[in-house]
Amino acid sequence: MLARTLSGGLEGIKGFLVDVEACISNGMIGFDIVGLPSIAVKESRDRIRAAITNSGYPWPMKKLTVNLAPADVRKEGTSLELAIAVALLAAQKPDLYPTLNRTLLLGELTLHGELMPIRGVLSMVLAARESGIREVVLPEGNAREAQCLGDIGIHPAGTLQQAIEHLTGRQPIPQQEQIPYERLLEEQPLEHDLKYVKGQKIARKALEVAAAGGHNLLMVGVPGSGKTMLARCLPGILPPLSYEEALETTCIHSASGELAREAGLMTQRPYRSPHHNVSLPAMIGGGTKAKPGEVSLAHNGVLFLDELPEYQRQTLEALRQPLEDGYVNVTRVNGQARYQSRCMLVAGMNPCPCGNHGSKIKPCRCKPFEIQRYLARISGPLLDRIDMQVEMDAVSIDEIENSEPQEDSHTVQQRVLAARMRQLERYREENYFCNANLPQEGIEKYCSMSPEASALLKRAVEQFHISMRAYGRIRKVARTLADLAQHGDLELQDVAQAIQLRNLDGQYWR
Amino acid sequence: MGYTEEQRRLLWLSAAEITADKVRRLLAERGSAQTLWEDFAHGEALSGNAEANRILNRYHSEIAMDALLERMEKLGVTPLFTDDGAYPPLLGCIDDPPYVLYGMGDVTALSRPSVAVVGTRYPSAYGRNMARSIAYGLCEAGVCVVSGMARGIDGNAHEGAMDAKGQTVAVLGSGVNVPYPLDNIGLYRKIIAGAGAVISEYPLDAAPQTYHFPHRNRVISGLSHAVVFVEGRVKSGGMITVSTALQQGRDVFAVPGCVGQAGAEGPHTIIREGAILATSAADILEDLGLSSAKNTAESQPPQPPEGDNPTQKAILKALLREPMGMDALCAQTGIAADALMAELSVMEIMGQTRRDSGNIFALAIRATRTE
Repeated sequence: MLARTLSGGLEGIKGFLVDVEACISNGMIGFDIVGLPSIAVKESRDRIRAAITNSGYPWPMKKLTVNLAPADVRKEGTSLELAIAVALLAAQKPDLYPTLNRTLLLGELTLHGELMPIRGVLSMVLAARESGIREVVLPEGNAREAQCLGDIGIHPAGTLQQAIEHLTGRQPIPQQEQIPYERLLEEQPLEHDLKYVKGQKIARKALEVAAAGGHNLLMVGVPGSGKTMLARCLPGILPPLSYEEALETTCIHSASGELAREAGLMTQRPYRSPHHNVSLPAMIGGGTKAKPGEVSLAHNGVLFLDELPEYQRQTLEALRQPLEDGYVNVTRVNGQARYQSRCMLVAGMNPCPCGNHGSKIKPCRCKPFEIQRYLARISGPLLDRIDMQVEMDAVSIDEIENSEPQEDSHTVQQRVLAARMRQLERYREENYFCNANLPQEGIEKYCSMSPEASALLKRAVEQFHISMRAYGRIRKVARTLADLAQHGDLELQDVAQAIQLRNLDGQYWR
Repeated sequence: MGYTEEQRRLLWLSAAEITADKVRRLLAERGSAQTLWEDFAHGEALSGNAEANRILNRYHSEIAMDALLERMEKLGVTPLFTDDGAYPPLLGCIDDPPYVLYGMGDVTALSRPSVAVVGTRYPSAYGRNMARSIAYGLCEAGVCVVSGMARGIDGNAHEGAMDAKGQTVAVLGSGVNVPYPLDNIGLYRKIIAGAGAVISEYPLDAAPQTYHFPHRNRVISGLSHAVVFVEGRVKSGGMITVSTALQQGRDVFAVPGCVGQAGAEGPHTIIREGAILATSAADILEDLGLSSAKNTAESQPPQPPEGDNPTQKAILKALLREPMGMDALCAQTGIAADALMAELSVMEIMGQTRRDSGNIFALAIRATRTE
C-alpha cells in the first residue's frame, strides 16, 4: 500500500521538488510525517485528516507513514498538504491515479477541504518545469501567478475534492489559458503620473536622467515639496519590466509573502519605501531563515529611503555592497542564500533637522552646527554611490496653482527608452549596460567632451572646488543627458545641465 | 638663524602659552625675560597652571631650546618679536600685542596695508559671494586680506584674495603647524606655498582651544587698517573682532544683508551703531584712501553683468528685478527649462549668477576675473 506524489518546498526564494511518499501498513493506528518537517508541516496532520473525511473520502484506520524526500532539507510552510492528502488516498487505491508521477501538487488545506493559496508558487512551478514536469494542480488563489509560463498545464482547483476528481480523471479541470506576457503589460494603469507633479523642473529632470542612466538620486527639500511624489513616479518612467525581470521579481515577492492574493505576475517595477526604523536584517535580508530584505524586494525596481539621515548608520552602510554588486549574500544558522538586489536608490531628506531651511514660508530654527551634524550622518562613501544630489525648488501656493500642464509619464518614458537603447548599443561588448555603472576607464572611453564642454567643466571644478570623484560623476550624468538629447560626444549643454543637477557638495557637504 | 638671548627666553615663555598680558606684567616687574629664566631656575613657579610650569621646566635648558629652534627652522616657521623690523607695525601699536608671532610662508605680507574680512562660519550664498568679491577687489588694489581661516566667510575671503593673485594672511587660533579646521587644509597649504602667510601667537603645536579664538581676534583686527564684517549674528566671533577693532581704533565696515535673515543681524546692528556701510571693495578702498589712480576711475558700484547671448540677457533681465526659481524664470523668459538649466549653470560658473538654497537664482557680484 504505497504511493508517491510530487510537491514543492522553498529554500530562500528558490523552489525545490519534494517527493511525498505515503505508506499504509498494519500496526498501531497513527499518522506520522518524517523527513525533517517543520512544526507547521507536522501540524498539518490534523488538517489533512479533517479535510479528507470532510470531503467524503475514507480515512484508513491503520499505521500511516509519510516521508518527505529529500529528507535532509527542512520543509517549511504549508505547500505540501495537498500532496500528502492525495498520497494517502492514492496509497489505498493506486490504480485510480495514473498521472501522479508527472503532476506537481501544491496547496494548503482547510478543515472543510478547501485549497488555500501558498507562498512561492512561481518559484516551485519553475523548479518543476526545469525537472521536466508539465502538469500542475494548485489553489485557485495562486492561479494567476502562473498564467504566463507558456508550455505548462496549470489546473487550478478550489477544493481537495476537485483535485481528486481531476487526478482520477473522473472530472478533469480544464487547463488554465496561458496568456502572453505582452498582453499583461498592456493592461496596466499608471497609479502615479508625472503630469500631476507641479513645478520642480530641476528635480523632474533629475528623475528623468536617473531613469535613463540608472543613476541613484538624492533629493533634498523642505517637507511637502514633492520628494515622495516624484519618487513614486519613477517606476512609471523606467522601461517596462522584461519577461525575465518580471519572473525574478515575482519569485522574490511571492516567496516573501509580499504578493497580494490573487495577484498575477508583477508587471510594474517594485517600489519599496521602508520606514526609517528598518533594521539591518530587514533591509539586507536575514532572520533565522535568511529571508530576502527590502533591497531584494526592490530588485529591478526602486528603493526609496525617505528621511535618509534618520536611518541607522549601519543599515545605510550595509547598502553599499548590494548597490554595487547587484546581489547580496545572506548567511544565517539555518540557511544561506544569495538574493539579487539590482535596484535604483532614491533618497529624500530635509535640508536641516527642522526641515525649513531655504523655505519661503516657514523660518528655519536650526543652529548651523545642528545642520552640519544632521548632514554629516550620511557618510561620504554612500554619497559617492549617489550620482545626483538635487535640491527641491521652494514653491509657493500661487506658483502651484498657476502652473501650466506638465508632461505625462508616458512621454518621458519614451525618451528614457530611447536613451537606454543607445546605452545598450554602446556597451554591448562591456560587462555593464547603463551609464551609472561606468567604471573609471569606461568614463575615459565613452565620455569624451567637446572642447567647449571640457573648458566649462574645468572652470567649474576650479570655481566650485569639485573633487575628482564628483568630476567623474558629473561626466557620467552628462553622458546620460547626451543620450537623452541624442548627442554623440558630450556637448556644452549636456555638461552644463549635469553641473546644474550636481552634487550639493558645494553647498552642503563641503 | 641667530636669536638674542632675550628672544630665546621669550620663545621659552611662549612655548608654555604664557599670555601676552602676563608676560608684559612680569617684564615690567623684573626687567627682562632673562631674569624670569633665572628666577625659574631658583624654583619659582611662573604660572599658576601646573601644565604650563611643566612645559617651562621641559624647555628650561639650552639644549631643549636649540632643538625647538631647529625644528621651527625645519618647518619653515619664522618667529617675529615686537622689537623686530619685520613685526607688523600696526599690530605693535595695540594694547597687548603678542610678544612672539609665529609665521609660516611669506611674512613680508604682514607689513602691507591690510584689511580684515570676517564673518560667520555658516554663511548664505550671498554672504559667500560678497566675501569673495570684496576680498578680490581689495587684493586687486594691492591690499592684503586678513582673516581667520575658519569655515565660511573667513575661508571665502582667503579664496577671493587668492583668485585675485593677491596676498592674504590667516591668523590661526591654533599653532601654525596645526591647520584648523581641517576642511580648509587646502587653503592652508596654498597660503603657505606663496599666497601670503599663516600666523599665530600660539606655539607650534598648540591645539585649537576654544578660548584661543576670541583672543586671536584682536590680532586679526590689530593687523588691519579696517575690519569688514560680512555676515553674522549679534553674538558671534565676527562681533568680537569688530569690538577689538573699535578698541584699537580701526575703521569698521559692514556689508548689509536682507532684513530678517539671521546673518544680517550683526552687520545691521553695527551699522546702526555707526559702522560704515560697504557694498563693494571700492567703497572700502575709497574711505580708507587706499584706492590708487587706476582704481578711482572704477570706484563706482559694481555693475550687473551683461550677458553674452539672448538667453543670458533674458535671464539677467528677469533676475535684475528679484531672485526667482526655475518655474518663475520659465514663465518670465518664455525659454524652456532645459535650456535655462544649462545656461544658468554656465552663468554660475562665469560668476554672473548664483544659486541659493531652494533653487532660487540670483544675480551675483563679480568675484572672479572674467577672461
